[in-house]
Amino acid sequence: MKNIKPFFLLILFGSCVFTNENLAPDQQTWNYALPNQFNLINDEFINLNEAILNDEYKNIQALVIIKDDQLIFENYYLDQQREDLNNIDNATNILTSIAIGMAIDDGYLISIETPIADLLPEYENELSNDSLKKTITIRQLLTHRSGLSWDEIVSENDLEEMMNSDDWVKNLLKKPLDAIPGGRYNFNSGASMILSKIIQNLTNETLSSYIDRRLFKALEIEEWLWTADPSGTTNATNGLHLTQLDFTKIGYLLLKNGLWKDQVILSENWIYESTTSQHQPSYSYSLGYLWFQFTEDQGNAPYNSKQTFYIPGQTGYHLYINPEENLIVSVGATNYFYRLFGPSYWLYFVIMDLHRDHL
Amino acid sequence: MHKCYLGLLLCFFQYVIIAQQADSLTQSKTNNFTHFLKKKNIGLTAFTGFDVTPTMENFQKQIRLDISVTHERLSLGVTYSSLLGVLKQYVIFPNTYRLNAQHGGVILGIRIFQSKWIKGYVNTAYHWGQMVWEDPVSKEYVFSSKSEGIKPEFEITIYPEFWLQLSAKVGYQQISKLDLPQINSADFSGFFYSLGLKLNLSNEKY
Repeated sequence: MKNIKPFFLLILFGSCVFTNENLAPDQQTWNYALPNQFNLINDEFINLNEAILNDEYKNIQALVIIKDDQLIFENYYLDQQREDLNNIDNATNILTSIAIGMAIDDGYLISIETPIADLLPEYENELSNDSLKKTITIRQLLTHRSGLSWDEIVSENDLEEMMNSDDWVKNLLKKPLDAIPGGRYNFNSGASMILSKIIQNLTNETLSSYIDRRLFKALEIEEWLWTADPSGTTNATNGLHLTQLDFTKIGYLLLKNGLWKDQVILSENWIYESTTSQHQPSYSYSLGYLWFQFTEDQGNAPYNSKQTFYIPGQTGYHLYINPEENLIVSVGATNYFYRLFGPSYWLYFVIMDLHRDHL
Repeated sequence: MHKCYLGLLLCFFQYVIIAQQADSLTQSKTNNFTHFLKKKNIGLTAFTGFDVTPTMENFQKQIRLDISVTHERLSLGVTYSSLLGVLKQYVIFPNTYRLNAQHGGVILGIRIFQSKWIKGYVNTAYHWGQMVWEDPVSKEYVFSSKSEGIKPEFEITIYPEFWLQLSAKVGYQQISKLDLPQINSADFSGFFYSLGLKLNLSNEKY
C-alpha cells in the first residue's frame, strides 16, 4: 500500500482551496452603477476624470458621486487610494453640528438657545471679562455669529495662535468681542472647539468618543483618526481624518434624513433645521448650522441645487448633499491656497452642468 | 496558492511520466509500482483542454487540467481551471478592471458505457477558487472573492484503446459564494461544453 500514497497526497493537495490575497473588503453601503443608468453620459464623466487627471481642478485627491443610492463615480488621484485616511480639515466642523443634534436627541441638551456660559463653568474667568460674552448661545456658534474677535479669512494668525496654545477653548474665550453676539457673521472654524467642549461637558465623554459611539459605529466607520488639543478636547476645528467613502457616508446619512439601515441615527427635525438657511451673510451663500447653502442671487446657484447643503473645507474637502437630485458629491483635495470656494466648489458646478445637459 | 497547486500537478506529471522511467536506480521500484497498479486495476488518466463556460454576457474559454486515478469504472482526481478570455468592464466607474478566475477541486467519475471506439462517463467536479478584479495596468488585485462550484458533466472519449483520446464534455456549472462588485454567481452558472485530449498515463486498459 506504500505505493498508493502519492495518489492520496495528490488528491489531498489537489483539493487545496485558493486563498484570497490580503485585500480590503469592498464597501457594503452602495451598489455600483454607471452614469448612463441615470440619463447621464458616461463619456462626459470620463472627460471630467481626464480633466482631474490633468490637474485642471488643482490637487483633487478623490471624487465620489452617489446618485439615487448608487455609487456612480469613485476615483482617486495623486497616488491616493480608497483606504487612505486624510485630514478633512475644517470640514471637521460639521461633526459638531451633528453632535449637537444628537445631544438634543439623547436628552443631554434642551435647546441651542442655551448660553454657553451655563455649560462651560470651568471658563468662568474668560467669560467674565465682558458681560455680553455670557450671552453667547450655541445657536450663535453654529451660525458663525458669536461676536468673538477672529480673523480666518484675511490672515490665519488667530487660528495659529489658538493651535499653539495649551487650551484652545480658553484661548478662544479670552478673545474680546468685536460685535454683539448674534449680530455679525464672521467665519470662525475655531469656534467648533467651544462646541466640542460643550459636548464633552454634557456627555462626560470627548466629542470623538461620542461621535464614535453614536455615529461612526452605526455608519460602520471603523478607520478614523481624530486629534485633540493639549488639554484633551477633541479638535473639532480641523482634526478629523477619514477615508473619502466614510466622509461620503456622513452626507448620505443626512440625505436619508438621519436613517441608516432602518435605524434613526439623527432626528429628521434637526437635519431639517440645521441644513435650512438661518441667515445669508453673502450673495453667494447662506448658512444653516455650519452647513452652507447656495443662493439664487446673481445667477450664482448651480443647476437644481436650491435645497442643496454643503460643507466647504479650506483644503478642498467638500461634501455636497443635493436632495433634489438624490445626489452626493464628495470631493477630497489639497488645494488649500484657494480657501473655501476653490476648485472643489467649481467641480460641483460642473457635475451639475452634466446633469442639466442630459435630462 | 493557485501557483503551488499548478506546480504540484506538474511535479506529479514529472514524477509519473519522466522521473521513474529515466532513473535506472528506480527501475525496480517502477516495475513494482506498475505491477501493483495492474494487479489492483488502478489507472491514471489526465485531461487537458478547454471549457467554454458562461461568463457574464457571453461564453469564454477556460483552460482545464484534470488528473484522475481510475479503478475499474470509477475515477477520482483533481481538476484545475483558469479563465483565458480577457474580460474587462467598468467596475467602479470610471475604472475598468480585468477579471481573473482560477479554481481547483476534486472530480469524481463513473464510466457508464464502453464500445470499441467510444467510452461514456458521467463526472462531477466540486471546485473552490477565487475570482479577482485586477487592475489591467498595475496588475494588482483590486477586489477578490472566494467562490465554489459544482460541475456535473457528461463525457465521451473516442479511440478508447489508444493512450491518447479525444474527449468532449457537456455539463452544467453552478457557481456559488461569489461576492464581487458588478458580477454574481449567476453570471457564471449555466451549461458549458469542453473539448480536449485525454491521456492514459498508466495502465491504459482502464
